[in-house]
Amino acid sequence: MKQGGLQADEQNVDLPAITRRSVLEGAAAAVVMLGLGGAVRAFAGEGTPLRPPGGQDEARLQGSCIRCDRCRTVCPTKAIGVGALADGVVNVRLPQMDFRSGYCDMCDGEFRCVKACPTGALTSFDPFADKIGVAVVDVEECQLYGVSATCNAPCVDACEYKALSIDENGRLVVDESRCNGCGACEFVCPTSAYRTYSGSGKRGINIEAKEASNV
Amino acid sequence: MSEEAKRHGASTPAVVRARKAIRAIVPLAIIVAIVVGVGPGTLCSVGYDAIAYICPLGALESLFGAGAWAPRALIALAIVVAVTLVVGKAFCSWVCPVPPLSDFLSSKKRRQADCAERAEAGKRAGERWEACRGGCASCSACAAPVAAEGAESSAIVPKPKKRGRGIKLDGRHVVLAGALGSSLLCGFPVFCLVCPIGLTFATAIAINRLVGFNEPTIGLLVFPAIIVLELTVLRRWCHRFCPIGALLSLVARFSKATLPKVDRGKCLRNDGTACHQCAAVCPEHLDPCEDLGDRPLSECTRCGRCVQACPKGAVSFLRPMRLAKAEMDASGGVPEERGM
Repeated sequence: MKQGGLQADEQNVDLPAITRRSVLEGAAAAVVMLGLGGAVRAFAGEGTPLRPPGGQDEARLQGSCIRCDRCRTVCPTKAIGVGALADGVVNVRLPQMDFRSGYCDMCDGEFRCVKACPTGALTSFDPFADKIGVAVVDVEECQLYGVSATCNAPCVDACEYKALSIDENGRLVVDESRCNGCGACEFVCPTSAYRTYSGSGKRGINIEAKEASNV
Repeated sequence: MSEEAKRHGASTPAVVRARKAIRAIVPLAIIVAIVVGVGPGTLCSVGYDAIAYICPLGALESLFGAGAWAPRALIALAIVVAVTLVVGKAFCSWVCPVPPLSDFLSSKKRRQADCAERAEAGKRAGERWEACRGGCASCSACAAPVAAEGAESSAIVPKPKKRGRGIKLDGRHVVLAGALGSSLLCGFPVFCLVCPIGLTFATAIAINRLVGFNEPTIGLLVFPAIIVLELTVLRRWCHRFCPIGALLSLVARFSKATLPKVDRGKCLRNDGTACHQCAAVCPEHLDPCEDLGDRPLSECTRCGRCVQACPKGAVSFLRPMRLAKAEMDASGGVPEERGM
């Protein structure tokens, strides 16, 4: 009957099946991706860029971040920049703090970057316990350390956490326990405010990466 | 003026006009927002505060890369799945910037070759239909119990059966597995580094950083170079490699409600003509009429080219009441699923 005929001639209308070529192409692409990932891991730069608040667990940030750019664009102070190829391939398009453009005012506790992060790469941040980094005075650049020490030290006023002070010799000192690396001091530091061709290009006070264990 | 005349009068159906408008507006709006600095994000994730769309592949890669299950990524993933269940792979032709970019990067010759490939695929669909018409009894691709009595409705137009046409894994799914596997092994979303959608917006951001922050980066050259490489050397990226399309296609096979619908009363195949004009313009190499194309209907991106191409105006996305009623009558009260 008809039903019998149905099974009899399976070849009558041949819908194209999956081809070996297409699978091989896909497999080649998958292998290239795996190789790329491995190479990126093998040649990762050694420096750890400063991450936005809540992104201090570097393994988690790199693992979760899909480079969507939302944290950067919601930052009201423009303190978040984008990682460049020069920082190592794994850092490309990852968020990193750019204290020349702004500093982290923690959005008065709102943390809009953390809120915006869709994948949990940025998690909660406590400004009094967690650290983006820590301020380090560059004695070559800080004008309070120069021969003619003249600076009205806007960094001291800018620090909301009372981490900066000027000692009896008129030198700038950092209280690392109070500093959470918000970058206000680096942002206001007048040294190298304009790009110069002499000197290190660093500011008198810079936020540098700090191990979490130092809290 | 009859309905048919109206269709022929308006050369571009509303669905095609809407698609073209949305596909132009969405990426441009995102780029303008990036430049203005109030960006809601990119196509990798776009939204306001905690309410955001997330690229489904990005969300999965992130789960694999970090080994941590972010609830928001899971919720967003569920929403993408739900939307895909309704509109299938519509993202590919309505939103994704890759097809127009790919078009832009193709030479005239290349574009003509693409058209020829579509026409060839349509022709093959037509041939399959001819073979099918020879007798549904002898044909495995045709609908099961040959509609016996209901002569006038299905005697001529064969109904392909669903079996074997559901999920079809191909090279893209291998790429998808590679994207997830490499994220797991390398500990970060590897595909995001080379995703042409992400790189399109990364290029826009790099240009914006150059102009706004005087920050020249090598990415300005590298990002577009990767896009060009992917869309020209690995041509037909969407068909052969795109893991996002692969992911959507896994879900889209269950999405039938918004597939193009064919009014059998108008369709030329109803008169025995082996017309395959709808199939011959389909960029996905489908056969909207009978699902006898090179690729299964689950790959449909709802682009509306078949609606535009049908000489009888028989293809549409909305099922007219009249058509629904006719099918109801023809199948003896039971709404016919085929013909959707």
